[in-house]
Order: sequence, then structure tokens, then C-alpha cells
Amino acid sequence: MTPCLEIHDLLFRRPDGFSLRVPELVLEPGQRVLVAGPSGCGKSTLLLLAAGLLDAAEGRILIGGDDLVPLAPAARDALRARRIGMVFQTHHLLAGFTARENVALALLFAGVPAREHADRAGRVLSELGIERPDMRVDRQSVGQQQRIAIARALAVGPDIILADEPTASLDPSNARAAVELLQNACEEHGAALLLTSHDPTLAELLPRTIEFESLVAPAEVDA
Amino acid sequence: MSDIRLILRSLFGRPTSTVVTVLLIAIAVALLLSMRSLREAGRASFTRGVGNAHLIVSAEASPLVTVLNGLFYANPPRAPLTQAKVSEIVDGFPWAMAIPTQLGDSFLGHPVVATTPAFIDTFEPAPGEPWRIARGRNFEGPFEVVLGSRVARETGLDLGSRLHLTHGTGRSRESGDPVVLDPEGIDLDEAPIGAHDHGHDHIHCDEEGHVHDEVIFEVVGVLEPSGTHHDRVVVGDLEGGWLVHAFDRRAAEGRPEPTSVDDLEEADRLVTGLLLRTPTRAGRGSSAIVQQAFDRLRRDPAITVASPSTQVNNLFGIVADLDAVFLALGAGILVSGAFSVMLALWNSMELRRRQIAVLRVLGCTRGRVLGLVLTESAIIGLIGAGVGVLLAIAGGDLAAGLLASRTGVVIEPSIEVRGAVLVSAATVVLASLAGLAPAVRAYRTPVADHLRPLD
Repeated sequence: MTPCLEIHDLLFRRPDGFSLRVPELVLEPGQRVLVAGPSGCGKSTLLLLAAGLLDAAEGRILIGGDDLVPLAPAARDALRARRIGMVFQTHHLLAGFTARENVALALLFAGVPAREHADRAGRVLSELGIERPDMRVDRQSVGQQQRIAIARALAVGPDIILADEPTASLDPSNARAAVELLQNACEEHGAALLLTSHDPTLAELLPRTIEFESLVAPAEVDA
Repeated sequence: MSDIRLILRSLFGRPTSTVVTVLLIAIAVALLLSMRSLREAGRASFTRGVGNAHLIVSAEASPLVTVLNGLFYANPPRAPLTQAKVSEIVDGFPWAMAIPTQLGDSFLGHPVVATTPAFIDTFEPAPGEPWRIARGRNFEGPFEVVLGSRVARETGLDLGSRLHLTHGTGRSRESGDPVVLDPEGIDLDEAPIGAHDHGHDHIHCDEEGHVHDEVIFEVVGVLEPSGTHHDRVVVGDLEGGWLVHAFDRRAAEGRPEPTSVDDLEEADRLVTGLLLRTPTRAGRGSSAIVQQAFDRLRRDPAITVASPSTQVNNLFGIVADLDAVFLALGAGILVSGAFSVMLALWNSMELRRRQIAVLRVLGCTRGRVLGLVLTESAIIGLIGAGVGVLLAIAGGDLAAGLLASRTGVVIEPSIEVRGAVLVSAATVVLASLAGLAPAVRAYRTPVADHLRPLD
């Protein structure tokens, strides 16, 4: 079976001197992996590279066998829209929009026909326990916002969810609940999960943990 | 969800900025369209108000003044034509219409045209549209008057009402309220029409005129609206007008005042204008012999002859530069409105870069981001243009009402569809261009920088 994410000999350089080299990272379909490491080590950069939101200087990043690196920006955006979901620490929901609309936006950019948006978004939100899908997200609780963010990431049926520090602002019990929610949702939707966190205690919750330090070529990390 | 819905949600998510920007655009569009509409309406009103007169003759200094005073009642004409000169002109050509007029009196600010019944029977206030009498009949005697529709509406006078006229443009008075209006205590309602009050001085009502208390006129007819400035005139008999002025003249000379039209002398029988029309074929507005008649009259140094339509065109030629200035001003306002769109979007971009970054995460391409912002600015332009057209329609009606009530000039402003479409299209294009810089800014939004957690 084709891995849902493969990174080979990846090199990224930023104008401020920061660079990141990842010799290899492979995630099989449905696999759930924690990348643990201290804040500022480059975990978020790794996820942005995997999502095609940053340009790699060298190497290959394959999503379901398709290499992101040589793709034109628009093609990369289209691939991300259909096959990658992202979850962030602060959710990054669009304030002023309802939960259903936030999820529908992901469907819009993935090319799902408009007539399917409302039902499909409502279904995913319902699965994640959102009782008021037509309430503005800024009026929902933080816990609900997190569920909406997960729903948005899963709505298009992606191959992989990239979760960047999703528990960073939560207390330990809520962090545990959030990770379990995310894992269960990914499992139900058949998506792999690559989760980054500076919290080593999360390791016991996920089947596989990779220390960020072991993932990168040490000499390349300048900042 | 759709791109348009996303844009509208974004616009209504910052209502104050959107409303202010749309209003700025709307005001610019309304000003531009209103100026254009009022200019066209004013031109149409002037052209239409010329009526069916081919020529007008007076003793004024210039043809333009002749037309403005003689046909548009701008000011009381100062120089009269003698009856002998009028007869010479009328008898010297086979006119289809020759109507003498004497202007100079007024009633409650409305000009009084002392003339012959032909002014109502033959003269057309608008080409092809003869007068129609709404109530009563045309005047027959020297002390009978017919009211233009606006005079009747504004003064409340109707058939049977009695009135004094004012020499000049001062405010004259209605004779139906002797206690207030007649300090001599004469009950004018009981007095016979044309009665003379020889005993008292003229009552000066202001610096510009005095009331002709000597003669009482009766309203015998009310005209239907013609949609021209002629609706604000009081039309009366020429002999009645002569009689009123004969009182002044005799009083000044210390001679006995006239008691009837039979007492009028040649010096009293003056007119200030002569409306002329040459014979035309049925259904034709003008004829080839107008020029011939014009050339013939122009040779007489004692008179001024003018073609009303030519003079109106000359007048618009004179103010053409002013039109251009107003239009340039309107265009300038429109451009400044476009700048306000740019500023509003540019400033909102600062707040929306995180939102744009999120859209990019969800798979929105840079090109689509550019398109979203450009469409947003175009929508602002479109809504602004739509509101502007509505404002222009309402503003045009308001301006026409004010113009009519304050100056008597009747205009019918209408927003020409082609002009409205052109201005609206230009507004949308300008607004889209104004959105270009903010759109490029959105296009270049560095995604990673704006996905960091908020502090």
C-alpha cells in the first residue's frame, strides 16, 4: 500500500538562516504518529512543508505517492485541499462564520459541489458532537471550536491530518481528551495522523512517537 | 458555500467600513448622474419652453436678453415697442402668428403677461402642445385674467377670485382680504371689476414694485399644466395692462386718470415683445421662410429680433465649459471614491491576513485569493453604483422641486439608462482597479507567518 506521507532527503532553508534537513519520514495509511520536541525546534515548519505551504530547497515530499515539491503552486494547493487536513493550536476558525460555513469552506476549495456542502458539513459536525452547526464559531465554547476545527480538517476525507500543537493551550486532562478525540475521528475517517507536540506525556496516547531530534540531521538545525 | 457568499460574509463582517465605502461611491455616482441629468433636463426645459414661436421681437439690447426676458420672464423688459412699430412688423409679413406681449407687472411674484387672447388660443407653450383650459374660459375683457396652473396651485386662487397686480416684481396682493390688504378699507369683493380707486396713493409693497390698486382683475380661467415655465404666468388682456400703466403715467404727469380703455392714448399703447411664427406646412415645426423673415427684421435698427431656439443653443454654448467643469468634478469625486475603496480594503487586509492564511491552508490558491479581493472591490463598486443611481433619481426629483419652487424653472430630470449603465460600469471598473493593490497584498500573504498562535 502506498504510504500517505513520505519525506526523502528534505532540505528547507529560510532567509534568516534557519534550515531543516529531514532524511526520511514515512507514514503509512491510518498510522498515527506523534512528533515530539521542544518549542521552536522546527516541528511546525515540518508540517507546513508536508502541507506544501513552504517551499523545500531539496528532496521529495509525497502525499499518497504524489510529489508535492515539483508541483506548481496552484496544483499543490489543489492537492492539499483534497488530501490534507490541518488542525492548529488556536483552531484558526473564521470568526463571523458559522460552524457549518467553516467546514463548508474546506469543501468549497476541495471542489465538492456546492449543493453537498451543507449536508456534508452538518454530518461531520454532528459526528463530532456539534449541536448547533449554524451558530457562529466565535460564540461556541473553546471545546466546541476544537471539534469544529477537527471537523473542518476531516470533512474532505483527507489521506492525512497534520495537527500542529493541538493541545498546547489545554490543561493535561483536556489535552488527553483532545488527542483521543482527534485519534478517534481520524480512525473513523480512515485518515493518518501526524501530530506535533512539545508535551512528551502525549507519547503514551499515540501508537508511535518520533523524537524530532532523531528525525532531522542535527547539524542542519541552526536555530 | 461559494466564493460570492464568502465575499459577502467578509463584507458584512465589517459593516461600518463597508457602508461608509459604499456610501462614498454612491454619493460620487449620484453627483455625477445628477449633474448630467439636471444639465440635460435643464437644456430640454429651455428648448421646450421656447414654444412654437419662430421669432421674438423687442427693443432690448441683445437677442439673448430678448429671449430671456420676453419668453422666459427673467426680468421685466425695459424698452418698449410702439404700437406703430408693432403694426409695421405685423403688417409687413404674412405671419401665421403675431402676438404682442407687455411684461413688467407681477402677481405675488408671478409674471403677468398682458397680451391678446391669441396667447392662449394660438401660442403653444411647448412645441406641438397647445394650451388647454382646465376651468373657465379664455379672457375677453380688459380686466379678466387667466392663471397658469402653478399660479392657481400656489396662490389658491380660482375662478371668480379678484386681484390687484404689482408694477415690477414686488409682491402684489389678492383683493379678497380687504382688511389686511387694503389700508383704505375698500371692500374689493363688493367693488365692480375694473373699479377705480382714485383717491389714494399707490401702496408701495417693497423696493421693487407697487400695487396697482386702481384696477381690480377677475380670474376667468385656469390653465392646465404645460410642464413649462409658462405655467407660472398670469395672462391678461393687453388693454387692461395698458390701462394700469396709464394710471401711473397720468398720475406722474398730474393729469386726470383714465376711466376706460377709450381714454388710452398712443403713448399708452406700448408692448415689450412680439411673438412671431411664420406659416408652416401641416405637421412641420419650422419653415424655410423663417430665415427670410429674420433677415428682413434684422435690418431694422430700432428693434432686436431673435430666434428663441438659436438663442437657447447659444446660451448652452456659453455654459458648455461650466458643464465640463462640473462633469470633471463629478469624475474627480468618483476617483476619490475609488481611492476610498482601496484604503478600506488595504486597511482591512492587515486584519484579514490570518483569514487569508487559513483559506490558503484549506486549499485556496493565491490566484483565487487575488480574485476574491478584486471581486469584493467590484461588488463594493456595484452596490455603490446601484445606491448612487437611486440617490440620483431621488436627488433629481428633489432638485427639480427646489428649482421649480425657487426659480420657477420647470425641469423633468430623468436618469438616462445608457448613462446610468455607463457610469455604473465605469464605477465597477474603477473600484476593481482600486482593489488591485490590496488584492496583490493578499496574494503575497506569507501563510506560515500568519498561522502562528495569537499571543
